[in-house]
Order: sequence, then C-alpha cells, then structure tokens
Amino acid sequence: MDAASQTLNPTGKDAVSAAYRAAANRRWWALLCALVVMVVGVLVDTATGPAMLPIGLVAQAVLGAPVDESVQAIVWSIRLPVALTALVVGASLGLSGAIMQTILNNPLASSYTLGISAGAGFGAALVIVLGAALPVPEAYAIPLNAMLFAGLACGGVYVIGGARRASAEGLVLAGIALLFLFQALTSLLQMVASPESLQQIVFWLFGSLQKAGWTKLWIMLAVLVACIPCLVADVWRLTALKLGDARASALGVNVRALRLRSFVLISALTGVAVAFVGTIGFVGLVAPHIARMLAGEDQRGFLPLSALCGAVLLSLASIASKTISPGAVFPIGIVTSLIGVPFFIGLVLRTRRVYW
Amino acid sequence: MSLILDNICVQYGRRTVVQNISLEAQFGRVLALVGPNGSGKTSLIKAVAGLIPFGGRIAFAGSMGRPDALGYMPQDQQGPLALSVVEVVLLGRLERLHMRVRDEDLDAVRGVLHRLGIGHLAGRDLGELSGGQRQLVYLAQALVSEPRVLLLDEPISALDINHQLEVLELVAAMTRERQLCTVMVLHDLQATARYADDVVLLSGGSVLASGTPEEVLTQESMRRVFGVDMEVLTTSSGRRVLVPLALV
Repeated sequence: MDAASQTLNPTGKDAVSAAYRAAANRRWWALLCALVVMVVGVLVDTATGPAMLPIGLVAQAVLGAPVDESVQAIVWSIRLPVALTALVVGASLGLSGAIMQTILNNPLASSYTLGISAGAGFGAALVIVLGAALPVPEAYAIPLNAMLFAGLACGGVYVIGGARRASAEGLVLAGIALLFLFQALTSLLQMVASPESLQQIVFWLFGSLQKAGWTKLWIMLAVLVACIPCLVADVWRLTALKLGDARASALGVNVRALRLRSFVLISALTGVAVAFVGTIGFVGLVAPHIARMLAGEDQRGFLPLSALCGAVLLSLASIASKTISPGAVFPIGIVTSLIGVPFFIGLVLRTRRVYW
Repeated sequence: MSLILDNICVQYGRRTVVQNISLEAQFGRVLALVGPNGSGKTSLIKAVAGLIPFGGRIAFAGSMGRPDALGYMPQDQQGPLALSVVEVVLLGRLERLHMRVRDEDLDAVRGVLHRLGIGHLAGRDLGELSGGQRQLVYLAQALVSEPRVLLLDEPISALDINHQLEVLELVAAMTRERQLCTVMVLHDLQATARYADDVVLLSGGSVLASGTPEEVLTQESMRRVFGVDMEVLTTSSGRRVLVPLALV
C-alpha cells in the first residue's frame, strides 16, 4: 500500500454509504409524504364549497366512476379546475422560489420579495386602467401584460444586478429596487384609476383562484412540465452554487450562464402563475424553507419538494379560503399569509437544525 | 511535464496585485507560495484556477489555458448549512454526476474521506462542523476529482498541529506517488521548509526569490520580506527550523 492511500484515522469506512442512503431515504420519504398530503388536499379542496360533498364521492367523480350529474358538474366544471390550479400555481411558485433562493444564496429571495410579482401586478393594473383603449379584450390583455411585465422585471433584475458581474448580492439589491419601483408605479395607477378600475386592481392584487379554468390550467401545467428537464440537467450545478460562486466556478460551473438560464425559468414559472391568478406572496418564500428543513439542500430533493410543498400550501389555503366565511371565498393571497405565517414561525421555532 | 505561468498579471480595478509573475511547477513536486499578507498569493492561485481574469499565459502539460483535471481548495471555508459532507465531497466530481449517483462516485468519496480520517463525519451537515473539519471536507472535495493539478489556498490554516502534519504528509505523498502538480499557499514557514520541494517567495505582487526551501527561506529574505529577524536552525535529523527572534 502506498503512503498516499494509507488511512490517517481509520474510522467510519461504511459510514459513507450509510450516510448517503439515509439522506436519499429522507428525501424519498419527504417527497412521498408531501405527495400524499397533496392528493388528500386536492380531494378535500374539491369537496369543500357552498354544497359540501363527501370525499368518497369526490374521489369517485374524479376517477370517472358513475355519479350523479350534478356532482359530476360541480366537481369537473367548477371545483376541480380551481383545486388543480391551486396545485399547479403553488408548485410553480414554490419551485421558482427555490431556484431563486439557490441562485441568489439568500433565504429571503422569492418572486414576491424581488419585484417579479410586483412587476406582474403593475402590468395587470396598467391594462385595467387603460381598459377600453386597448385593441385586445381585457380578459386576455391582463394576463398577457402581467406575464410580460413579470418577464421584464426578471430581465431587469438580471441586467441591473449583472452590472456587477451578476453577483448574488447585486441581483438581490436590484430585485429590491425594482420591487419598490413597481409598487410605486402601481400605487400611482391606483391613484389615477376610476373607482371601478381601482376595485378591480385591488382584487387582482389580492390574488384569486376563482379565475381558474381548464385552458389556463393546461397552459400553466405545460410551462411547469417544460421546466423540469432544464432543471434536471442543471441539478448538480445548482447544488454546487450553494457552495458559493468561487467554489462553483472552480468546480467547472459557468455561474453567469447558470444564473441566466435559471432566471429564464423563474420568469416563465412566476409570470404564467401570477398572470392567471394574481399576486400570491407567501408560497414562493416559505415552501423552499419547509423543503430545506425536510430534505436538505441537495437540489435533487430540494427542488421537487419545494414544488410539492408549494402545491400543498396553496391547496390548504384554498380550502381555508372557502371555510373561513361559509358561502364566500376569501382572496387566496390574504389567506396564504394569514395561515402560513403562524405555521411557518412555529416550524422555525421548533426546529433545532441550523439552515442559514 | 509541468504547469507554466508566463508573465501573469492580475488587476482589481486599477490596482495591480500580481505583476508579471513567471514560474514553473513540476509534476511530482509540491510548490509553496509564501509571502506576507497582500503579496498576491491568493490572486495568483485564483488566476491559475480560472476564477479571476488575468493577463499572461498559462500552459499545462503543453496545452494552453486552465487545466481540466484541477482540484482547488479556496481559503474561505463557508458553505451551505444543510448539505451533508457526502454531498459536498460528491460535488468535487460534478461533471461526472448523474441524477442517480453511481457506485464508482460513492466509492471515490468513501476512499478520500477514509484517507483523510473523516469517514465518520459523512452524514453530518457542513453547518455542524468546526472550521478545521470543514477544511478537511473541502480538501476531500479537491482530491476526489482525481486532479492532475492541485491548488490549495492555506490548506492547514484552521487545523490543529496533528491534522496539519497529517494533511501535509498526505498531500506530499500523493503528489509524489500520483505525479500531481501541487501548488499551495502557506503561511507556516516551518511547514513550508519541511514539505515544499520548491518555494516561491512573493512580495508586492512580484517574485522576490524562488528555488528550494534552503535557497529561499534564508535569514536575509525573511528579514527583507516579513520584517522579522529569524534564526535558521538545523535539527539533529537534518530538518530546517525557522525561529522568529524580533521585529526589525
């Protein structure tokens, strides 16, 4: 045996396999549990409404078993699109928040805190105020413009932050600056808007799943699914980026190109989700934290679990929005924060592991 | 075969921190970069690792540019708190990793952790480790890629004396047996005298002296560069020891 292969302190040889297996098992269990909670959540969400339906009956309707026509109509035409939209929007926001927190190495990063949702809000408000002056019907113009401005905000963060070699700090500062800019511009629009437009803007900014429909759902799902192969290809590079820019570069990662690719994905995921349901703030920030606590920061587990946690959070919020005041639907953006914040604080206070 | 640096210059804004440095690091030998704080050691090693823009030319085994098979261990020991030691070390083989980690990658991690005596830390999060343990983990990451060029920036700065000797023994042995080209930034002059085959003494971003430890680590050069009077002793076993006496 050569000197280089001698052991300095021969302990724990099999601990490596055991440690790797334990981490992998933890990831799989967390993903499985989140998936089960998500399925239960969507069934309960579909069952909840002015006319409460038994969960068994909802499951039968969803699985295509013969049920009463009225139940079929309530489930397939009204409630299931909303419940599934909650899942897809939650997953998109959770995933985009996770990517953002990873590439910016910042626990406060999300599309909401870094101005991308604010950009979408401004885009929507602009259409609402301009209204009849536009050549496109408002129903299409609002999401399109919201998507456009979400993309512009994302591009703005990258370009302005990129002026300092696209460092994480530069990008975060640029995001915060754009958040304030778009909030100020939206306030300006609210000031000059008619009372009807003002009401519409405020309602849009609250966020609502009631705008959901099958077509929008398929579009959002297609964008989410399209992002997956891109993330799979970069999953180890994103994990390496958690070691810091210099270390990631030394490992062969082109940090600038990785950030650019990631910003494109964030822009697509957030832009489409926010465009169709309005501003929903809490999910993109918190879902990654929950995922991190459950499965660590190996992005192979962290990214899918962030998406599932986002889906679960928004599904639970959707249920709560319908049960807080029977007969009425609370705006989902308010509910996510009202319920999610105490839940999140409790989670943070109870955990002993250090994450940041 | 060797790693050749030809007229390397590094600038931060208008400030030049490395000026026209040329040197040659041989395979199978450990080259130590020594010098006072701010003398350009870290900037030079970062330039070789391709982390900062530089002027000049780097040639490795006859080819131009940054060596592909490169293991780099930076000074900074910060890292993500919620990544385990196995995951951090695996990242040293980044370009070979797939969604499902192959047995050969895990075997490589097992081998290097075992060699560094930190196999028992495998399942621990990086955030739970001491500075010295993190340093060993990052050394494992640099070694697991099976590099031809090993760049270590102050690899023993956070280690206790026992681990300092163990790590330097291991690096020196690996360098010889695997014919690596190892470049280390060191502040410890005793360690430099004992483990380096070649020494480059930097001051103000330029090379002040280069050669074997006996040629470079002299009373005169230490006085000139560090401003410290030192006595250079030779022990009964033939090792050189530098004893600081007083500030000049």
